[in-house]
Amino acid sequence: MTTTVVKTIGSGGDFTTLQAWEDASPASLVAVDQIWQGQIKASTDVFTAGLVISGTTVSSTQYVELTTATGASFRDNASVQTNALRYNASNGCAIDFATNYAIAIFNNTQDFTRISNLQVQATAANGTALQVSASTGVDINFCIYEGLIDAGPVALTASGGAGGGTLRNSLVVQRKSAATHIAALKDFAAYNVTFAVPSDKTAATFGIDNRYFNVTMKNCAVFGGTTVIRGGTPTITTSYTSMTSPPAGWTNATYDTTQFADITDATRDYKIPANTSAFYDTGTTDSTNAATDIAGTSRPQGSAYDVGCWELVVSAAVVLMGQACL
Amino acid sequence: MEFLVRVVDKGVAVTCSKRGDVLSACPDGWAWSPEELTNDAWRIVSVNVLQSTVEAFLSNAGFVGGRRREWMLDFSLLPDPSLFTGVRTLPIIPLTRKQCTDAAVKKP
Repeated sequence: MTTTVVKTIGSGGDFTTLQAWEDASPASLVAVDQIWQGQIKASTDVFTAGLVISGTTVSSTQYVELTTATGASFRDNASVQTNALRYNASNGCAIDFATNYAIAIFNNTQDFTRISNLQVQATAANGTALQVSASTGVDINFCIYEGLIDAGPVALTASGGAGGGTLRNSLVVQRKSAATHIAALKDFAAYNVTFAVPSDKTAATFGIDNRYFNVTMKNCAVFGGTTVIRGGTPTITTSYTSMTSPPAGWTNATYDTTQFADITDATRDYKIPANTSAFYDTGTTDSTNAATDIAGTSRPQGSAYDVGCWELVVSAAVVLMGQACL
Repeated sequence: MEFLVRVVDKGVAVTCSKRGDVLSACPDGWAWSPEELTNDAWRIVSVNVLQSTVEAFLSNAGFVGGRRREWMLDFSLLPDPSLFTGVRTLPIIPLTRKQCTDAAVKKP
């Protein structure tokens, strides 16, 4: 029976750096029948060095997983429903990466890695928040990635064809003006992911770079790309974009504070503000990939899933003196 | 600066960390964990080097052939290579800047 080996990472943890945790794993998790799970220990842990995940022998049931201990994630913050939805190390543990021409988290040709509950920003002009290269079965869930790189804060490439990996219930923000694209998704699937460029930045040329590959996108919001998707063979379901006259599968919506709480770079907040948003109750049910949103809210709250990473919690009606007051 | 370095290859795959790779670089006086201080596959060295040297040792740019690091420490070029084999005998090994830079080798 597979054993999950849990190691804490951070000040006072089993390992004080992310790379030490990764490097300490057995060379073959298959041989020892283990899941090598690292949990960032405290909400105050902020790592400034990058992490490479590669070289370990894995399988679909014996793999490397990076997540957070209870209470350490931005998702565990007591004010998660009201905090601005963006990278903010005050809300939980984080990777704050400032090295130029480098990658904060790089999963290099290692299959089945799982990453969840993290917020990562790459602040150097050519730093990438997350890159997955030539890997199959990778699962990225409940994360925030922000960056300033032309090639996108996240670049995900699977090696196994369609369905090679998933990005879900996550926020990806391209904070560079006039970038080539927000994210590259190649043989990857995205479910309930919000991709955006703040409105006071020049839009990216493309929302998603999918050239020569497949991509499946369901319940996704792509805002701030002049053209929503670039090339490839996309399969799009109930997804929204700021692009006017978008391709089949996409629905246009205005990029304003009807859709998101705040779209200005300095104060950005990609929560759905109210049930007047185009995203409200317009998604497709997918209990496999999106049963819970980025803040831990179960879907659906209304009559259907919301689009993007946020599921709006509408206050229940309070009945006073026989009248329903919202 | 204190470096956590690997002294034995983790595996044969090029994507595995290798002997001489700097895994992590942390400020002087870093509170290393007991596991980091005792793992025989690792050593911790203390050395005063420039930030550019640190970045070179940690550089993952390019990932030529899938390898993790562009630069490595060649322990055979250090005054006491025996400190970098077998069981750990010192919790932290002090190096001078010159010793460190002389042992820094760019991988082919």
